[in-house]
Amino acid sequence: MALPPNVSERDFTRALEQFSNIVGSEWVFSSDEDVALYRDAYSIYWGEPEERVASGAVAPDTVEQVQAVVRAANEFRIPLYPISTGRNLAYGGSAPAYSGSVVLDLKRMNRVLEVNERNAYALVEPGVSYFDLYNHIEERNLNVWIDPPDPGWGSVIGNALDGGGGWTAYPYRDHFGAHCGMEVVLGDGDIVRTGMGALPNGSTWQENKWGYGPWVDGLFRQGNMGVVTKMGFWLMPKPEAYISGTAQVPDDEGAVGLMDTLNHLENLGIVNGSTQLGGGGAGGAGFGGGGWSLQVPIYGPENVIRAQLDYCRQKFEAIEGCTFTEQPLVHIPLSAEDRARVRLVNFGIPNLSTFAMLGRSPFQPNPAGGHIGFSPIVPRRGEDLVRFRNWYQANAAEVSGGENLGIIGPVFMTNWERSLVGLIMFPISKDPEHNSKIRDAFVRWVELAAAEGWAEYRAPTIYQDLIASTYNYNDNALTRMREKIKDAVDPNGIISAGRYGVWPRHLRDA
Amino acid sequence: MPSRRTLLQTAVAIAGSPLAPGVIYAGSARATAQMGVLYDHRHREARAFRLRAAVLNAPVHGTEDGDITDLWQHYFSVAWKDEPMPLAGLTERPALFMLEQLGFQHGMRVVFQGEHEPDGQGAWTHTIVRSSRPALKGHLDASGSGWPAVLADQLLTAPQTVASKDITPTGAAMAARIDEPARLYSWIIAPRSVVEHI
Repeated sequence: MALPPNVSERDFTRALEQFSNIVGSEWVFSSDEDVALYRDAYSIYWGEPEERVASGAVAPDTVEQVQAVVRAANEFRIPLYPISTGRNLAYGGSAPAYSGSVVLDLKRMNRVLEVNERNAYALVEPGVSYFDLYNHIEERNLNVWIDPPDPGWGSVIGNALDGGGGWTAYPYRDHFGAHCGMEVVLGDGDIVRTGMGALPNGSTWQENKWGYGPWVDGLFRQGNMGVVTKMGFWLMPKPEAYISGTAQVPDDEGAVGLMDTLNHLENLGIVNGSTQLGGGGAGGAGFGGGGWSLQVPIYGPENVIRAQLDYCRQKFEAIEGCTFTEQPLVHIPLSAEDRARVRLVNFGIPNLSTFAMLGRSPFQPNPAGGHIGFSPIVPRRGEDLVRFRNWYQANAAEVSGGENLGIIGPVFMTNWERSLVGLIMFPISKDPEHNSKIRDAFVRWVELAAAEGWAEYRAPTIYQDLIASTYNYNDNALTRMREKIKDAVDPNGIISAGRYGVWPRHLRDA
Repeated sequence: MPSRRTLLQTAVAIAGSPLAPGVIYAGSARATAQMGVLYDHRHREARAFRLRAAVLNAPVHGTEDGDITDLWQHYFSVAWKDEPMPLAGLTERPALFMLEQLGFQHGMRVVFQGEHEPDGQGAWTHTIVRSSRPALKGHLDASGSGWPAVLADQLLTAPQTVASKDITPTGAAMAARIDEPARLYSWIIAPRSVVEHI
């Protein structure tokens, strides 16, 4: 039996006994066989001593059990690592940020507490997956959509808390941004409800995000201040139709107008779908050529979105050399024919197809499967788009040591409003030698990007300290402030030690 | 609703076959429900595996592109909620990974795993990674191009029991190395109850 760091076998055994008393012995896991289920399937240290692993797991079914487990963990100083469904592959999966932690597995808390069709919101528990919420809505024929990420087997809450996003309309595809109210068990076992949830007998918990006074929800995004046990989300009413057009410019000069026009159209709310940017000679899979292309999707009533697309055409065609083509309108609900040809996540339908396709290309018919990404935020301007691409191309050979490590980049993502993501993808496998080279390359890209003023918005557990260290304005003032809060709300440092670079006092001092 | 593709791919076993009324998966702890079969339609060998499985009266499910979403959503997740049923497959690696992960929450484990690598000239190398019956490799080696049918016979008619220490996750999410040649993966995912507690 593996032990949590600095915990005696006697104390660990007693803690497990207490956990068993709280949740039932069948929901406490400490055998090697069971604990192995919590390995990170995409660990870049797969099978190496540095791989982050759990010492055990406990799976409560209610918020009261979560509170009791947290209190017991405090008594024995057992580090806990809450997971929802543990499927944020490429970001650590269900393995803890602090090796030896006990995974607080919330999969059993899988109740859809409410889907309010009239006001278009849902309230769910952490174990609810996108499939679960989708099925709940479809079985009741409710007139709302979910916004699934790709793949859709993860937790609605977990994805939002990790900073994940989806592929339908804004603001719904910013999953944390689309949340409204949460319930949290703090590190000392206390329980809070945020926003309007703090108002006893209130009924607007999922209707007003802000409530009264300082807003604290952000502390729990990529955070370790508590265990989120309920969370509300705004849902999109099912749109009547979807239409898209593609703007193409012949060269880098055109990219400036392309991005400015996109920003204008999005900021006006004319384009609301998740746009797709390609071309420019960027190295992402399927992107080639010197020009740039941008697909702009729009959701809404047919006559409205046709007018919106016409407006988009006018604006894009005003750019010198830009051509604009329309794709056929898609009615919703999808016909069987449309369903077979569209990308389902753009229509609120969760699926797992990404695993069957990920990284597959004529040049790599048998991809390794494992991957992590470095996803720096880049200004949403054509000049910066070109600058990032040139920077990547100028450094790629040196960073990879002259070898072909299979790194793919940059893939530009425009699914966040107001900023770009310049994604660099790193393939990983079970080959320690190759993984070691990938690790070196990852660190180098982080350093090079930080020097340019670009940094990651979400990271695998193994690199969360590294990325946090790049956000170091005024001698790491932001991290220091987070540490002060961490020490206040989780004085024994029980919850998710080290997550996103925030360590409790006793581990900072160590 | 299941998609047209799911319905087309979920074939009912051939009634009245020589081995009817069907193959019962016999675990060490108890007999369990009839073992289903999943095959990847893109591969000739997997289609041959499917044909033999159908002759053996096993419920057969196929995937055209390696995506198991529809099958999972409309069949396996529903069936496994009631009673986890053993499932054998000959697929690419991602299907094994997905179903193994999804099976964990239903108390399922991978109790058999084999890997089958073509040499590009018609011959195959078989590696039995996890099995209580290592002699299977010899049977496959001896069967030449007929190995998929032999594999189906062996997996569907002979019990597989493995020690609990051997049912840790397969790690099928990732290849052994990034330039790993294309392979087919054979596997059985079965209820945890068939595993020997040793």
